[in-house]
Amino acid sequence: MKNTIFLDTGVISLYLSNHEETLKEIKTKKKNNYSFISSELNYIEFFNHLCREKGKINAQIIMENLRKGDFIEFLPVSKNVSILAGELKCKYKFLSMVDAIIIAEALTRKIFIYTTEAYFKDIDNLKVKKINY
Amino acid sequence: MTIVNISNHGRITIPSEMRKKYGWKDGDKVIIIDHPLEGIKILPYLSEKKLQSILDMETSIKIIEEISKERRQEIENEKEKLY
Repeated sequence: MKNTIFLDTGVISLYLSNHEETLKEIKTKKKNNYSFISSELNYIEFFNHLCREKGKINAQIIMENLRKGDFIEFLPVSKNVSILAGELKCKYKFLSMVDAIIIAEALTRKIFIYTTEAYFKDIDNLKVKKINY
Repeated sequence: MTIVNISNHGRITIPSEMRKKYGWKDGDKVIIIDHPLEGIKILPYLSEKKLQSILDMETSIKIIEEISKERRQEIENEKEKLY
């Protein structure tokens, strides 16, 4: 089975802006047969902000190209992830709904999550890499 | 608006004036989506290289910071509801 890394919205944004550290990291992992996933919630979050900045049609073009390309797969929320996300949201008061769901996805799969958020490091057992920009 | 025929295997021809307007040439790829409200839409396909530089760094950072702020705001709103 291929190795997988979860990408938070901020990291996807950096990938789309030619951010050197992000591109280098992703290219290296790709060479080593890693694949990348994110959540449909990240899709919604990113679409919303792209729409505000670039307009609806440009947001559709960018997001659908991401969805149809080879780079990343956006996952719907599964039952197991919902269960764990609820527990995480209850335990860690500083997590937003999106945070809790994507962290639950990474914990369930026991995979690394790449994020631009500093507080993810405070979650027990989460394998996290903070991407600086 | 232009009316076109659907031929063998569901093929349609995008009128030449539209191809010119969007800079679409023979062999170019497009993305077809079935939008839940707007129906079938044709969007330009972007190469991975083009996609990697579709945003300028300033916009990218603005988006990251606004998302972070929104996530924090959600927690603040929850605290206000509790107390």
